[in-house]
Amino acid sequence: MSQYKINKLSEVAFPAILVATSLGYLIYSLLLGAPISEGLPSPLFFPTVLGVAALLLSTTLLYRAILSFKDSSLETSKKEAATKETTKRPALIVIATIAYISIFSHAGYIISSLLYIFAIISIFSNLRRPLITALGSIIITTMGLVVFEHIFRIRLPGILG
Amino acid sequence: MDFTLLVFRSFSELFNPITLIYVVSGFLIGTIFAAIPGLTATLALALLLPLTYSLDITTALMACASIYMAGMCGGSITATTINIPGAPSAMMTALEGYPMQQRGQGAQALGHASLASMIGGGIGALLLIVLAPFVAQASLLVQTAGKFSLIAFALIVIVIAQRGRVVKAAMAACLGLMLATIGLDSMVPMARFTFGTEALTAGIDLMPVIIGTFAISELLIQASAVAEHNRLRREVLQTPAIRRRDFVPPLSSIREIGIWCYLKSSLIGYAVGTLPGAGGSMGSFLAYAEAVRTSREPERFGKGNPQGIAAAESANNAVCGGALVPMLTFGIPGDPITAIVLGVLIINGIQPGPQLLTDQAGLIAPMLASLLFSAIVLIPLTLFLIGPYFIRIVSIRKDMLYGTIALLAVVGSYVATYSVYQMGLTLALGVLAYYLRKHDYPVVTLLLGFILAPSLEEFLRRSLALSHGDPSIFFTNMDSLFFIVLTVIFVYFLAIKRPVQYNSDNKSTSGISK
Repeated sequence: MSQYKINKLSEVAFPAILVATSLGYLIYSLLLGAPISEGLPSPLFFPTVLGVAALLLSTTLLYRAILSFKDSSLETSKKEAATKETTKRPALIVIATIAYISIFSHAGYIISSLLYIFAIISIFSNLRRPLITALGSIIITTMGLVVFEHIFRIRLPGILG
Repeated sequence: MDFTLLVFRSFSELFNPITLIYVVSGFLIGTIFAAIPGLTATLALALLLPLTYSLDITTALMACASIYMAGMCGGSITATTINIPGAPSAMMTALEGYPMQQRGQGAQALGHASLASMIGGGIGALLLIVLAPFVAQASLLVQTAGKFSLIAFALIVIVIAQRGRVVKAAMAACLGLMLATIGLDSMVPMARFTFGTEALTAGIDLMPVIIGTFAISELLIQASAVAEHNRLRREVLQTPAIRRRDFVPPLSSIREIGIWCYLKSSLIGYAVGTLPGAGGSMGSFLAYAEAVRTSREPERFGKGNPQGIAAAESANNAVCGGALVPMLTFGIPGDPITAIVLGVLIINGIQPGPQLLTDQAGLIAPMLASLLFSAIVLIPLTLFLIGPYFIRIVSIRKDMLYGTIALLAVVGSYVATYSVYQMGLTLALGVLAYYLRKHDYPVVTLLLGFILAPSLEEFLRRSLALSHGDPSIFFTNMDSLFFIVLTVIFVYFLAIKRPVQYNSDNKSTSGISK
């Protein structure tokens, strides 16, 4: 399958995920119980109505995406190819944030934040000037410590939690 | 009248140095964030939201008000100097301000923008102070079924205001509503969509939704657009320096604009602000269009006409006052910023409603005083003192800026409940919001759907319980019927009727869309 088709498929994938989510939500709400109980709306009435609405909307969006997939021209392929590059940085940021959250309580605010901010700045600056990046990380971490702990008196985890 | 007097007495809060520091800092932060394209005052407020936990509620609300006013005004800086609106509400300002900049009158354009913002913000705040108590009294007449119809009206208007992507906006709103149903039901002790996990039993907190939707998603979006920032930075560094004395617009220019233009635009902005989902950009657009329509020389617009700046900026700052009306009286936020201000109230256990302006007027009055103070004092003062350095704000290194934003966002989500789980939730919601924005789904409807869901469901179920399951209550109840008719009218004019377009002979063509 060509790169062009793969990129266009990704535009169909998102509404497809929404359809799956809406369907899952509706089915789960029906499994939890009846939407009407003794002639009155139960706690599942609102989610059921919502699920139906979401399913209709997401199906409409999926239908439009499929139509667009069939009708789109090759002129969009260059733009589509560029999106692969632009998703790399956001993915790196998500990975860095997951790592930060994982070590935040154990390594403490200072160490985890130094590493995290260094990573974020490096991602945005494409790893240029690592010394300035390190200095920036120290300054920002220190400013954060002052703001959170001393100005707003919020307790942050120390070293080793 | 009592409330109005209370507001003016609340100006004494500003004599407290600590409070004044927070208000001024909030204004500066709001200006900086609004001035930088890609950042918004909404983001600033979202990042500062966790910090309000440790602030006195009155001080927190006063700081929010100053950020709000700054956000509407700050967008005109880059709109004028480099033709890139710092905020959506400054789009019309760019149309007139940038041509003036190109003629060497950039400082004068910024002066006009600040003057108009001051007038519009002041009028909007005054109208809010005077009219809010009456609106609060009127809101007492709205009964249960009417409250459901009102909230449904607000949500529908917010959705259909997203022209060109109404279905996507509706889907995003549904996602927000769905997220709000996770956890224990508020009326019957039943766990919904918790999948047996204890963490989800308490539901999803407002904080991770706000921070994830605005801060984390913005970080991810900006990571996709790094090349654009570098180009912007080069442009900024080439912009000539501005002198302070050039900021003051000539009296002849102000006379030419006319007091009626300022007044009319402010009233338009205030009225638009009361509509859910409308926001500063719609207010400034409508006021600008009205200024063009009623001008004796409409051909001068779009070429550097100060009257266009005056109309747009008066309106978008007057929106601040209008948008707080439904938020304070009904708990219905009109835009993302008022949604976050609502979050500050909820976090501190304060429920919006008519009682807010009577029993708890002492909490709200200082906020309105701060709004007025920001408009009349801080806007011109900030321009004069740091105006020449405004444009340099845009040249802040983006990598350092986003490192700071990332830290504030992630740690901010931790401080609310000292829970790492909240940090993870914030990230997950941020990724969701990122993909929604990448595919052109408006995340503001997701946030507003999330906020309005509990009330919407509660009033729906209570109404049906009162009528023993008969849905005709929504049509037989007069206040509910009123809002349903209002909804139909808005749907017709915003979603069905084609907007008036002009052909090459300046004659209008209009019709019903298919």
